[in-house]
Amino acid sequence: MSNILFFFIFFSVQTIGSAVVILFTRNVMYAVTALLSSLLGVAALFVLAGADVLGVIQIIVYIGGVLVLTLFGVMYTYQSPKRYQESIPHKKSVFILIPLLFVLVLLVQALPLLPMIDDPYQHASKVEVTGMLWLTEYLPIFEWIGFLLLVVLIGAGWIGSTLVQEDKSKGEQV
Amino acid sequence: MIPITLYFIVGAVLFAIGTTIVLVRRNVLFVLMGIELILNAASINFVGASQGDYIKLSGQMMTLLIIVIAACEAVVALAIIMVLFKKAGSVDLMELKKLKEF
Repeated sequence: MSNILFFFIFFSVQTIGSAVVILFTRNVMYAVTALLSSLLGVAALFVLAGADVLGVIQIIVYIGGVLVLTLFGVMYTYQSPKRYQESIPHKKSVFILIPLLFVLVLLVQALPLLPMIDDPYQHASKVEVTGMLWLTEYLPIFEWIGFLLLVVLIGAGWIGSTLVQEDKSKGEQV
Repeated sequence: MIPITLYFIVGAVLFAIGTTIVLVRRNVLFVLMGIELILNAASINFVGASQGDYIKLSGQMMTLLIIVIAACEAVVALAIIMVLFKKAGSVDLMELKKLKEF
């Protein structure tokens, strides 16, 4: 098994395993954490495919933006503290064994093959090409994305503002 | 280069799990996460298919669009969830009976 292929399988297992956790867990907080892990795995898959810019954007937009928003949703719809408590305590050995296993596997695979100047990395970074393409060939799409974002900004603000108006009218009645 | 088939397999599995989450789970927030997973599965397919495309980067550009759409979707969905929670007092899809048509 080639080195790149091993990392591909590792990160795809991480992605799919975390998705399965979202499917089965009943705790919303666990689900958000599993989604974080899954999205990180997807970012790693992007990098393995040679799309380094996309990997960075995935981390910035998804984990910095979407995930924080989802967390806000979880906090906002918080109902009873029992839903966020762990009913079955895990053994402490699990917390030590699993990370050790991961580190061991990764090191055994990675150390002998440290000069990994192979497959996707023989081509230069995609940053410059991507920027040039956005501002030349894909410029109309770029503009439309900006317009879409403006519409979403106004739309989401308008939907949210109905809440504020209701609160105000309630306050006046009281 | 990793075989494109492997990317397609991962994308298919992720899509299947995301669809199951959307269909089965009752909490609105879980449904939102399922939609994120589905969009990510599409991105994986695009990126995997455009691995050898070093000049046009079409698949990567498409994935950038998908990421933007996903962010927009999350923002609007969250605004709707906020209003829904304020009005119905719950995020359980089974309890939102008011949306039914008699």
